[in-house]
Amino acid sequence: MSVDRPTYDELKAKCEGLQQQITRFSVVEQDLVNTRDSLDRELARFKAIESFTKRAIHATSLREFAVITVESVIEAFEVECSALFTYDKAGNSLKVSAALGIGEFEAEYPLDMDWMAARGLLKEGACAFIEQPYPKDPWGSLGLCQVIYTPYYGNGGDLRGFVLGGRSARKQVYYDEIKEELIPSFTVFAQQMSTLLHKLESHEYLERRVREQTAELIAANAKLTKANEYLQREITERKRAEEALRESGKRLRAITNTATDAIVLMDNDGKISYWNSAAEKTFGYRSNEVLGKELHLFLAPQEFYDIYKKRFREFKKTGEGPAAGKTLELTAIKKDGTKFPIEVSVSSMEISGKWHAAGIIRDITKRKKMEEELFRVQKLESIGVLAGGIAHDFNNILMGIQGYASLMLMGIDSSHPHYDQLQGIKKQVQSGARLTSQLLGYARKGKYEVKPVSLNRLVEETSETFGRTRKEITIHRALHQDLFAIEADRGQIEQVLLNLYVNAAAAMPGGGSLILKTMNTTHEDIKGDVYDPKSGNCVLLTVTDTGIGMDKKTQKRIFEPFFTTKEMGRGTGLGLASVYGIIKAHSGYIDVESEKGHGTTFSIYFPATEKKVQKSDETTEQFIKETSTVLLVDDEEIILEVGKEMLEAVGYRVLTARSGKEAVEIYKKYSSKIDIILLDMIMPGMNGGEVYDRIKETNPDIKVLLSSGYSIDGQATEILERGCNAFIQKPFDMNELSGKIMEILEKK
Amino acid sequence: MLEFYSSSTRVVDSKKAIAECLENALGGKENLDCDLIIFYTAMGHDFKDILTEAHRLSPNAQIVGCTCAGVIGKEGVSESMKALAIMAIRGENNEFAVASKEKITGSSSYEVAAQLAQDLKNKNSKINMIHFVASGIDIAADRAIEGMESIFGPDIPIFGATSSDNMKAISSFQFIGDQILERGAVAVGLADPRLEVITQANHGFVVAGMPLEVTRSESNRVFEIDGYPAWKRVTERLGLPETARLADTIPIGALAEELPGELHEEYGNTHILRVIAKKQMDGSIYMPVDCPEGTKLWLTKRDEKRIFDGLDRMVEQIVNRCGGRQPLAVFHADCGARGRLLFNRVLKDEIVSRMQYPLCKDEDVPWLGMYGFGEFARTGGRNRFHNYTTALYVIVKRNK
Ligand SMILES: Nc1ncnc2c1ncn2[C@@H]1O[C@H](COP(=O)(O)OP(=O)(O)OP(=O)(O)O)[C@@H](O)[C@H]1O
Ligand SMILES: [Mg+2]
Repeated sequence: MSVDRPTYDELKAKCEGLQQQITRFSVVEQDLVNTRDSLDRELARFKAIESFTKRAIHATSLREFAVITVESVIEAFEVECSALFTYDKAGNSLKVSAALGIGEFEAEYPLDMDWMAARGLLKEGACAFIEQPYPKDPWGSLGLCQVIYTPYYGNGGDLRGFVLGGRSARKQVYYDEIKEELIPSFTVFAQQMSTLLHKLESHEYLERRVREQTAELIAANAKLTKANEYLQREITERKRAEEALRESGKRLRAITNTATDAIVLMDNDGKISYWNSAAEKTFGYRSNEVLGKELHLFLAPQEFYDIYKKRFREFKKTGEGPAAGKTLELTAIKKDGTKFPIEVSVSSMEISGKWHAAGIIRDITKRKKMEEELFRVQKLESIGVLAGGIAHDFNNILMGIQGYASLMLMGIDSSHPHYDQLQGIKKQVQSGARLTSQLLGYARKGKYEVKPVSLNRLVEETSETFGRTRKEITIHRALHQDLFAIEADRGQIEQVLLNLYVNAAAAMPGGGSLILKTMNTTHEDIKGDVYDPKSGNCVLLTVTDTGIGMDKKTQKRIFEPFFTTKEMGRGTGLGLASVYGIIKAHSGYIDVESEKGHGTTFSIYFPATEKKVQKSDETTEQFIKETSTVLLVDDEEIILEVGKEMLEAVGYRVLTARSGKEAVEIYKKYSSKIDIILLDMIMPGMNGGEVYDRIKETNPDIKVLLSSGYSIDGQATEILERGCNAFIQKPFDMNELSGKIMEILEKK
Repeated sequence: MLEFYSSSTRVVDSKKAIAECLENALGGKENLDCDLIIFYTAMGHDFKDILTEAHRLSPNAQIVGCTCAGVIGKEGVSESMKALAIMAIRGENNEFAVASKEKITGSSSYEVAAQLAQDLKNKNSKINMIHFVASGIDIAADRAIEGMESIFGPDIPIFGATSSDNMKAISSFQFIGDQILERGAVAVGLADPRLEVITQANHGFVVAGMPLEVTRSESNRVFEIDGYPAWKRVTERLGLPETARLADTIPIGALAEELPGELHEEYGNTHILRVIAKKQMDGSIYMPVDCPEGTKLWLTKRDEKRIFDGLDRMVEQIVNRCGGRQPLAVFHADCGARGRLLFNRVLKDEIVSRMQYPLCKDEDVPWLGMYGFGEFARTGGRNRFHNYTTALYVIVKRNK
């Protein structure tokens, strides 16, 4: 039998044929593997979305949520970096809520909405994939390549932001390409995310605000403490400056009394021909010692001899020179060798037909000293400004906390687990507000609403209230029947009186008498020697107690801020400092007389006014439901937010403006609808005063309630004088605010 | 005695990832300090973040590592771009040493590896095993082995892998201290006399067809095969166009060299695979080992059944060699081509559990593995370089 044995070549060909088949199978097999792999990956993405949901639902803060989101994007979509943007409608910009892997981010990411629109990225739900962003694109400029991202929306369909995943151009080569296949799962992810986000936000909102505000309070407190320390350090210096000033005042008066400048005449040759007695005193040479001699030889320091001679020759020739007709400050020398500063002015004159130079020389040692002291006092003023500024910020913060606490309390009753804490917050705010008002008093920045008032009436009201709480103290009043009115801020004078009463009570722990007297008098009665009271009628109030009294050393220091003899934590030492500040701001004067063991008397003088006391208007402490519209103007976001909620809570419609400019614009548009404007006084750009004037041009009858954390001296008063209806000080609560607004609206 | 702790994670934030690994490995946040950290990371992580955070958390630890295409830990497999796995080690200063060299290429592999080994020896002459990682792209791995053996002798076990990116064969990175090297080599010498390492590797490919023959070469760079430009000839045999990328060839088939007959039994295969490490524009290719002219290269195809069978056999052999000793730690290098490119998730998990279960049973054995370009393991009593294998390095107490 013959079997066809294949030849080697045949076998080889067969083998190669088989081999090619194997190869083809391999390729098919690999395709299968690839398909399996992409299915695997899609499955993995959905698993990752599921685990994102599980994690994100437990997020306790928006921050945590944002971090989980970007981490999950990276995990689920095999990208290298991710960012979650929040859209800020007002600024038309994007803020980064969280980012991972993109390096350092600006907190605000500029977004060109036109660019977005051109790319079709603002269409609802549009998820986009960009393979290679142009380097100057918003994404490209972050060093990203292969960007996948999608907008997400709020419940009402409003754009809330974008979520983005991407790869850095740096590591692009290592990644497998991603393509449109990601889009379905990415879209699902974004939808899931915005649903979860909405849940979290509504839950977290109020809690977060209280937390944030509390943190700010703590920070502001730290700031205050620091400022206090600074102030305290300056106290000693201030004290020294004031004392020196008082001293100098005396000396200055002595000098002006004798009213003498040294007057010296020189003849053609520069020899002294006249030397008055003041010159004798100033320089210590008797006239017979100097007459006929050259002036510079004994009055000028040796190093100035040449200059002097040159100047004198020049002056003789031209009548010109540095001291001619002007005053020049120089250093001179006395007989005893001490150098001192002088002020010189020279002129030429003919005496008996002969040319003479006349020099008027003044010793300015004291003036120089006073100038330095003044400079130091000015520095103290600036501390006042600093304290005022802090109080202002602080008040705005307190306002926010107070507002949120009130709002939260509105929805709950005392059985609510947070009720006590919220009440606690309100209490803390109130004591914080007390502290700032004392501080403002010291800083003399709290002069708000000055009207003619009756001091008698204030004394009566406050002492009655005070007496009700301190039964162990007997109050005697001797108030002059026809007391002059004074121009003052009621609230502040009440603060002064209460501080004095409280101190008196503290000095009489076992009880005693508090004697309050008022009388008319004149400025001549005021004994203080540094202060120059305005001449005219005055009102004097004395507050006398029968308490423990003070020694001289204590008396000297009581008006210093932070001076207290009370134990740690009991007194701030700001009471009398604010009394002092307020009285000064009212151009008044305060003095103390005391003896240890024998009680104390404070005497307070206010300038009287001719103006008539207005009928006082009682404030009502209740809410009314009104459907009036309020335009709320403030540059502080928080005040706008809280104020709006407060007003809406009691039934007002509210429009808001966050700048003076905006306020004017809004008013133009809706002037017929707006019943009253709540206007912040101090704002960047157009301030409250300007806004008031602008709006008044269009409507002279517009009702405006001015508000501020403090007032630059007189500014508030000025606006009030121009016709503004009333003033409210931050922090205000719902009672106060609705009371004031109601009061204004009712006054036709 | 050296103590080993391991962990792996998919956490994407690099700092959090290394922190989590250290915490999980060392059991809590209280004391994250240790003496040596070996880590494998996928390409997506921020390497600097990992190094600085590791240093901050474990200020006394020496830190070494490399990039890879995925990690295998006792927690399972992760081939995500943000995969990270570590082995944290506590021990005495005289029980280990680390060294590195910045540039290792095909032609300098012997010298650089020898210098590296010399550095190790200078630091600690008692070193009895070396964990070695080096750039997998242009190294001649067999020459590197010879270089190290020239200092420590041929009996020192060398285990580890060539580092990789995610199988793009563009670049890979090695780490030591706060340094990031791109074409370097990093070695850890262990010098605990009470420990030994059992190494073994296995692939599951079958030879298909006639061998190719290297006709022009220079060290590990091959210019011509069968008289044709090398890349042209290889793609032709694979049924691919000449324009195919390297990654396209990897899953389809591999080149292989025949092993001496006496090793067939131990290795479970007649051939040892060779993955092309790099292709040049001129059509030449870089092989991972020296390829003198006349070298015969076979085309092989993967075979799923053989892969699984081979693995089972290998693990069984290792268990036998352990002889009842509990593994103290397992290092593991797998060829990147055996990861996602070859098996889907289910099969991969299957493969890994077929290794981990017989070796560890229910014990918590520290395990650090990676997908790299190639594996170092001993076969036939000799250190060898492998491709396409699963290689296991099981550290056990030395028999008395
Ligand atoms: N009527 C008084 N009799 C005796 N000592 C007084 C009287 N008024 C004030 N003093 C002294 O002046 C100090 C400063 O008073 P001031 O009101 O500024 O602060 P305080 O009362 O100590 O603290 P606070 O007002 O914050 O409670 C007091 O600590 C006390 O020593
Ligand atoms: Mg007081």
